[in-house]
Amino acid sequence: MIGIKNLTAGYGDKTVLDNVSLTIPDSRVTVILGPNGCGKSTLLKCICQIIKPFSGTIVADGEELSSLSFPERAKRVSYLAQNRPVPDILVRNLVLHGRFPYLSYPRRYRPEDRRVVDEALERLGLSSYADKLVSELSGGERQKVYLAMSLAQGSRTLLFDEPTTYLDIAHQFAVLDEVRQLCTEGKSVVMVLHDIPEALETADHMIVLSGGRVMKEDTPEKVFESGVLDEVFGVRVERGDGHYWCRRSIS
Amino acid sequence: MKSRILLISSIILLLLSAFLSLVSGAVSIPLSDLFDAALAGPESVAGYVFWYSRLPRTVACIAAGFALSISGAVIQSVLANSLAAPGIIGVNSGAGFAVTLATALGAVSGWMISASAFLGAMVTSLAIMVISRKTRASRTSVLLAGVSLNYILGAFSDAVLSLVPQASMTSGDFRVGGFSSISHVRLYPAVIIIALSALAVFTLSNELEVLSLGDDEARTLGLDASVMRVVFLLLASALAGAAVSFAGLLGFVGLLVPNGIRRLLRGDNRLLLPLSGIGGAVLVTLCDIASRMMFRPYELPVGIMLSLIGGPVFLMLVLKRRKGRV
Repeated sequence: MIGIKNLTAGYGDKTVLDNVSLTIPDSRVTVILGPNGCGKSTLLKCICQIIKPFSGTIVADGEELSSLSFPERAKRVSYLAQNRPVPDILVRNLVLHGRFPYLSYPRRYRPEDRRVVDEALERLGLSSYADKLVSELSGGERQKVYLAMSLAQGSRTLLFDEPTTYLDIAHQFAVLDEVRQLCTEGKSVVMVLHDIPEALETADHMIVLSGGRVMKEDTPEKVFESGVLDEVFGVRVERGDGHYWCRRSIS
Repeated sequence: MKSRILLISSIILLLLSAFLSLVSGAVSIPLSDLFDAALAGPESVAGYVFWYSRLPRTVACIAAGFALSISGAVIQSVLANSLAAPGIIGVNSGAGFAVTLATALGAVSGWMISASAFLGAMVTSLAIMVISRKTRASRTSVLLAGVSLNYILGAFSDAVLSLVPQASMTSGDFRVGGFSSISHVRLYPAVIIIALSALAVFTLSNELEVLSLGDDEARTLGLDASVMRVVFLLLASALAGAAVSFAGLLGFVGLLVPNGIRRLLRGDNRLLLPLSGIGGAVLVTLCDIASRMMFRPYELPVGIMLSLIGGPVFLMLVLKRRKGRV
């Protein structure tokens, strides 16, 4: 479990997250929803310590994350960025770097690291891509490669920033199925999603952010019933037959 | 497997070009006499030429090419830009300015020259980093800041040279880079610095690749990106600075060789650093041989030859890549 208390963070002198407190449960899919610029990505970056918060604490299983060294933190939390430069690197070598936090100087990958990487590649159906260049792959394949790297990293908590954006629907489903599967294996996944129905149907636990504050933290049903989504996004979210969809709000 | 073959063949190529460099020059020493000359020591004429001209010059070519190419490979990875190189972001000019200034102030000892070159290169790369930190600049802005520093420092060097003409390192080769008046005093301290820095960089090759994935990715994987960037820029500065201290402003090799090697390796970058180093050493040595032999007994500074030979080769690489992409 990750507990966040009174977290305030931002860039330079601009505050993005304002006194945020929330809980990320174990072995569940937690989805963060919110309009653009509400601080979703900032929240993920704080949890994995890419940016230092101005104040507040983030405690994972009793350990204050900011007190851990970089590699120790990396063993506990991994993060998949929304955008990144596309490196000129072989798929296998990239996934192998998921094992980076487990090595000490001079870092040379061991047979067990290679075995973990082979497993991660096979699990995501990437074995035949292992010797291809990451830059030659399609967006969906590339996303899977980074997912494999996160798996190889072996952390209990995985943070995914918009893992389905830019993917066609089949690849979106594949990624979300993988996420569900990970949770049944005891991992905790925190995702930022933009698609409200997709979020409501995927999440076990939901956090709605707006303007750098937590508007609602609850199960998807309760979040839906509270009407906070309609208010925050300015749309009408509807439900029927266990499915959700959005309409333009009538005003 | 493929990379192992590349490594072995590049080492053979290096040995061949080193050998060629030892036997060619204004005074011809027949092959059969070379061993005798080397064994006889500096007393005989041929021995003198071997020990005081050919050998240091060959060592200088290898060391300079090796150091500048590795420095280029490191800087390109750290800034994630294939246009970055020590000669472009001002690291070389920083070292050049410091050496010129030190000579103008009367420094003669090899260690002093090497130290000032290192200091000049380091201060320049630190300045680039501070600028990029202060403005939270993108990597492109970092590159642009470096290019401006390059011009500013070059202007300082030229100003010192105009005011104190005797500061030009005993020859006019400095600005384009050349080995015609290589001196032991400057060479050996620099070679030691190069060897140590290269060794350090080689052991950090995984860190370098993780850093090149982007800052966020690197931090996610447990690498302190800000600290490692400083470490790598310092090592790259030490390498480039040491090379500049005896070879002058040999710019192109640091851009050309790592880019070429990257194309060759196609994504399997584990041997990028050693292969860049060896490739740079081979290229500079061969160009130096050409610059010695073409207009014998006159010679061109090797920097000119590097641009003449390297330029078209680089152009070809760029065009070929373009074609491959389409």
